[in-house]
Amino acid sequence: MNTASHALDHHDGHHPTGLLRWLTTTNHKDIGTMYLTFSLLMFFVGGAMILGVRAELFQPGLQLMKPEFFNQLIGVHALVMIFAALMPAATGFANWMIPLMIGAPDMALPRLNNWGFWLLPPAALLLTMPFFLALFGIGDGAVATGWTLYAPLSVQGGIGVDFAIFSIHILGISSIMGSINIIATILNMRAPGMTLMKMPLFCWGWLVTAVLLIITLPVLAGGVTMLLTDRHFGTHFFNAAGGGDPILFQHLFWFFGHPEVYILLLPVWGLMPHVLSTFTRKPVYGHDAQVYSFIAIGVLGLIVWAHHFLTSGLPIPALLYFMYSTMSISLPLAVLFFCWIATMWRGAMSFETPMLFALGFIVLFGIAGLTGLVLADVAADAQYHHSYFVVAHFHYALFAGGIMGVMTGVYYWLPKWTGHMYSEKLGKLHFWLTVISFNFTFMPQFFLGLAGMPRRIPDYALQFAEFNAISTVGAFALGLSQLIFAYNVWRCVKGGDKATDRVWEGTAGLEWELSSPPPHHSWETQPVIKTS
Amino acid sequence: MAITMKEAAGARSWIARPNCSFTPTLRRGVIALILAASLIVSTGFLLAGAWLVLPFAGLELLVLFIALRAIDRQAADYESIQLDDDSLIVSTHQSSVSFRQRFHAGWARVSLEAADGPDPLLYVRSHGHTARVGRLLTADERRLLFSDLSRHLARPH
Repeated sequence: MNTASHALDHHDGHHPTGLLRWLTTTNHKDIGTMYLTFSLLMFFVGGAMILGVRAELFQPGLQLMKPEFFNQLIGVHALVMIFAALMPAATGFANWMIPLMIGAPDMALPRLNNWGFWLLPPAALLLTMPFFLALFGIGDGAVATGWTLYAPLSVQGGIGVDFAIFSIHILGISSIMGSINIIATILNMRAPGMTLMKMPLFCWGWLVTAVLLIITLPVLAGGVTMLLTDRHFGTHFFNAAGGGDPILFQHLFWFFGHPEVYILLLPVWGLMPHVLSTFTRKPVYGHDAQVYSFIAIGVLGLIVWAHHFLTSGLPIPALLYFMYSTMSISLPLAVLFFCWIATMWRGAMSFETPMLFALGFIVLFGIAGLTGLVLADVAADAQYHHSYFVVAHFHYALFAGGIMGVMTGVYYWLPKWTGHMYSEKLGKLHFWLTVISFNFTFMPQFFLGLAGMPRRIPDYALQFAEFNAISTVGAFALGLSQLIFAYNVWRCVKGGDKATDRVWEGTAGLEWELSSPPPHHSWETQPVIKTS
Repeated sequence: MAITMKEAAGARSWIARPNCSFTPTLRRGVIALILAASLIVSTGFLLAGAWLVLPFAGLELLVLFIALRAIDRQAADYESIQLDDDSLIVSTHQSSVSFRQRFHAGWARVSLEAADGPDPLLYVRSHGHTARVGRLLTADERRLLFSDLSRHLARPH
């Protein structure tokens, strides 16, 4: 059977419509759309919070808010962006694209898929609800410990910490459901002939991500539950006076927290080769090398967690181990960069919006990697730790690497999903505004950190005023330019020029054999992958 | 989904199975990898005093195990139709439940209801007994099976 022989019949008439459709749907495309919509909404919620923070930091002194509220905005911004914006975006991609890419009619466990999504809105509500409860005099606001929830500060915090703990539990359950589903789908539902080593790199990125989530999430769940029992049931896991150890919480948190970085980035790394290959009209360079790099990064990601708290008094052998093991991650990452560049080498490149975002990703994420090496150095980290250098570094990783990666994917696949082309002009405007304002926001923060400005403070010394003002202007420009993205997506969903089935000239892969948009039930006839 | 047709010594059989790329070796490997990694991690934290990691890891592995069992059960599903000179036998195996119906080959008739619709229904009928077949097939495959079966049943037995 030829892959192109798929019947393009639409069976749209036999499923519920309206709200009931979205509540009960088990269709992977519907659920993918819900994940992505939720992610976009929470991206703006999290973004609005940090604009409040940046507005406060525009000038030294306290202008707009109390320090307690400032701390709450910072902590919830991070939790929202990581758990409610970036992770759901990657899961949305997985839901939409994995079945299409591997020739499966749907995800392996569709009901689990539905439950996994519908856990997210209540979790996001729990996370943000303490802000509103405080308006009615209930509690003292949201979690104000930063997203790391470090003990003993979090043991002493208000009800916001409890809300955050329950929210993290629910988000964790949702992630576990998603991971199990993705593992089952990828391993069990590949089309005949699609061996693991022939599988698209996006699916490989997600497979490693799902395994990482399964290994690390119980540690976070255990850690925050111990925190809860310390707060309310008289245990002393993290209380030094009671025989506990506050550093243990840092181990528990970062054993999850560091792989979480790769959990957010691996799906994007998997997506990049597809985009680069399409817009250079060349096959992906080093498919197998990239697969092995993903696995190596996944394994190394599990054994380097303590580089996040090198200054907390670890013994010298531990410091050396975590320094060298962290630096060793740059080797498989360098392989990925090499493969991405080699894919573009002497290709017939064109610069449509997804390619621009992919190139922006490579350059800016490269800066994240290089500054990460600096932070891994034990001697240097003593100066940079808890400074704005760290804030700049992880925003180069998670905004330029994560969110710009997600935008690459949205611009790349949106015509396939909707059947319409978006405005290329608006897309390019969005790209240039994003890249310029992003660098205006975060590049000064490297210098602020190097000059000694600590992170998570609402007020600062006068010497930091200029760079903070530039950073705030950049942040507002960055936030406003994302409205162009939302408008462009909305316009594309509503209509526009008809997209062809293959959408882009240089596409390769099963997903492009389907119509644009794909039928509600895709791959009803099993495709077969032939060895060429 | 995949349907295979075999022909031997005057008898024909059609067997439909869901597509399953998860081989037993791969399944064992994946379970062993995740189990080992989870146990190493949770035992390490148990020794460090964080014993609450272990029950969460156990709970999660239980859910994973249940999900893989559900896939196992789906993978074992099949539907077969055997036709020889005397009889037409429909056998189905779905979620560990087996069912078998025998029809006289000379009297059995096959029908396709709602043939042009998105979900045509394929039936074998004889002497007041009915068996629905093709649950594991797509609409197109059911139409193909219908024409194939009709052709063979129309031949003299």
